[in-house]
Amino acid sequence: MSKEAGDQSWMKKIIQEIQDGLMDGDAQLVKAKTEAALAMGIRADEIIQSGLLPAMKIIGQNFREGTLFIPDVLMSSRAMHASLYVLRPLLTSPKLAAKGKVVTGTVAGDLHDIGKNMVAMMLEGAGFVVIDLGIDVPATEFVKAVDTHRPDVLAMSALLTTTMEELQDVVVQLKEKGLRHGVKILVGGGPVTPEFAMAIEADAYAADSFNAIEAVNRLIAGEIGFFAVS
Amino acid sequence: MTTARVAFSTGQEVNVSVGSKLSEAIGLSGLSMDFPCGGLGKCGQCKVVVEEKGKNADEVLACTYQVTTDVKVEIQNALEATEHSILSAGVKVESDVDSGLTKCYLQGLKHTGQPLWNEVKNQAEGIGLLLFPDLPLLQDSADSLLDKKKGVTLVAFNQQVIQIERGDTTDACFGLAVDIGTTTVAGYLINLHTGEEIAVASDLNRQRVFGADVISRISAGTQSKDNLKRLQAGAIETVNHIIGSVTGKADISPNSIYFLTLAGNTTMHHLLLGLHPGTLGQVPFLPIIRRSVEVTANDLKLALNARARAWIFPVIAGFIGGDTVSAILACNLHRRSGINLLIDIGTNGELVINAHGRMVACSAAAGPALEGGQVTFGMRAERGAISKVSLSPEVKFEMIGQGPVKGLCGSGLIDLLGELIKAGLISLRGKLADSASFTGPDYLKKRLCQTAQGKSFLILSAEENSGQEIYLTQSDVSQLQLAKGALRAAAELLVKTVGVSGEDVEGVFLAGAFGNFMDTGQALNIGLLPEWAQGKVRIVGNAAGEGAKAALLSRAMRKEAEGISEKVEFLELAANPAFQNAFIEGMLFKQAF
Repeated sequence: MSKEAGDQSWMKKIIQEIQDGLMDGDAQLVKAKTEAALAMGIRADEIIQSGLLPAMKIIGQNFREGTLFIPDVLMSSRAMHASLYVLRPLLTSPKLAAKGKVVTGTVAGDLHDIGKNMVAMMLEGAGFVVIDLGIDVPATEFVKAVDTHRPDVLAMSALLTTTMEELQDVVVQLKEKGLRHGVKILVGGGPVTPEFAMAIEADAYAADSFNAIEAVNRLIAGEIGFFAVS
Repeated sequence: MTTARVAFSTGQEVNVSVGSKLSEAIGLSGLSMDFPCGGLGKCGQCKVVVEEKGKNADEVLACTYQVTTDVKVEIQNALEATEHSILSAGVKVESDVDSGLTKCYLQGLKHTGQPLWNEVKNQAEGIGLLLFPDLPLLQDSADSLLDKKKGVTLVAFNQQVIQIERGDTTDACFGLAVDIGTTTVAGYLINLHTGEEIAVASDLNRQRVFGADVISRISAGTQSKDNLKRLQAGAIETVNHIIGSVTGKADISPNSIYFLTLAGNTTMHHLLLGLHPGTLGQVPFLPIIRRSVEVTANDLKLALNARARAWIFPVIAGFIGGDTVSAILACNLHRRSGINLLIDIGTNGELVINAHGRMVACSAAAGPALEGGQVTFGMRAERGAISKVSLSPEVKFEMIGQGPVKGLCGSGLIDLLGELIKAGLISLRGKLADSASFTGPDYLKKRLCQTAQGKSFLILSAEENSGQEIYLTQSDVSQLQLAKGALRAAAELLVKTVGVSGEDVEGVFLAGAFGNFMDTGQALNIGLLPEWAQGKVRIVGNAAGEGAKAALLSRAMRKEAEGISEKVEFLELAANPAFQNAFIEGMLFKQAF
């Protein structure tokens, strides 16, 4: 085997190990293999594109099909987080090559953020610029962020039936400020339904973090009309 | 208004108005059924088969199906509200009986030409009691005061007369301690002279039609005043049903119950009192009021003596309520020196640590798995439930009651997970072993199988259990991981927050109905309890109930409860950046190989 071919097979092997580690939810292994991959000369964005994203896609499919469950998803996302932690400082000029800009947050009165954090992390890995406003974000702050950052997508989550109404408040306030047309709105979270999302005049609904990535991609691609990804 | 007859396959029959939902008929019949999504038609857990006159049988959802004509209902998953493993007593709390409720017989009224009221007032003041002429008291006592020969008995609470009764009724003096849980409500009838417990009853909380968890009920209560009224009524009806039950068992009149203490989580507290639960459903999840509340039984339409007093336990935070205060009181946690931890596992999990006088509490959203919810063959601790199981050297189990096994309750599920770990049938991350690659004994290997829900472990085959298979699926394992992960993370973070290490914890008190059956060794094995809890665990049973009894019998205890609620700090785990990682760590089965 030539030296180049030998290197190629080593590189393929380590990418495979990163994928396996992600599937297994082994954060320590994924971190170690990510560092090893970098040491071998594989570029950071290559590791993300070939290693992390395909594995997360499969995990998303398996979750939808019911062969993987929330604990698995959480462990895998922790593993991905560990890898990104190593890679983030090395990602080249993200602003220029950014696929798009997304502002995200959990509505006022609510502090659930596991799903939202996963969306933010995977979007970042996929090459988006993500501005995460955090939890318990008042409607006015969402509006201000849209005005300041002019994102392509505003992605909001509400996990309590008692806080869902806030999503509507944000849409209404954006309209009042004349900002509604400049941004696509994606909503999600436990009690949120496609019917609710459509009623409050959001642009899209996503049933879980994996669906959210697909929804963001479709919104950026310019899809017209309300749609739900579930 | 026209009515229709609903006949249940279990024998009950009720008449309801045309247009009523089937869930209402179920409620009226005395059967009770779970409506986890609050009757929104989303979860499918209330499926029944109905047969309308002249039509074919059809499967419908009880929460949305409307009764329009006479109908037969095939109902399999309803619970008969009587057969529940009543929570056994926990730690006994020592105190002298000083409930504040006293009865005093006045033999004869001297007729000195003064109005009768003045006569009574003089005698009352003579024995240190105050008497105020509030209207209901005046009206009721008018009769009693007129009978000169019989004399009157003064009933006083905190030195103030609340009732004037004809004749000598000093013997009949009872109180009721109530523990209002989200799912189950328990009541203890106590003799207020002796402190003796006379009767116990428990019942399922009738609010359940609005949802199994507190968030559903908060949400319902926030939506409309009508909902809030119905939620309040549901709680009161349940308590009244228990009053009927204990007075029946003890053969006394409800009018002889003069004092009531109530301990419930903050949501139960607000809904019982008819307080708008809005603030409980939003950050920072504050209760409307924290301190104890005292009401007259009549204000709440409680079915005991109309002038009875009710003392509602103070709460600590939006998700740490009077039941936790009561449990702390019962375990004496607040007075212990050193470092001690209380874990109360119910529909929610509350943890409280006392580290050299500093007390901090947190709430863990464990989810329903440890009470059998969302587990394929999970069930509550009632007849038909496996409560203990071992897999080696052969499959053996203990169950509650007789008859075919219907499933496993929390303690059985914990045992099973522990046994799966010991046998190498489950991995660190909770994956059930593959039959192909399992190298252990055959009798276990053949129990690894595929079912409709995917990879499963067969606990009992159809042949072994009168035709009903009982198995554990991969999804069931994940639900249990979520539950234990949350509780474990909460325990670890609480300890860290007060700046001590687990090794320094001296005592771990385990409360909750569930705690009674639980095998501590298995709980440690599966990682539900941290390793540092080994050798330190004390099972205290229904500590909330015991605390309610203690408060019933002692003014000093009520004062202590007040102090506890003011002293305990609340730690919001969800906003804690370390929580997510601790949660994931908590889900792992570290004893697995």
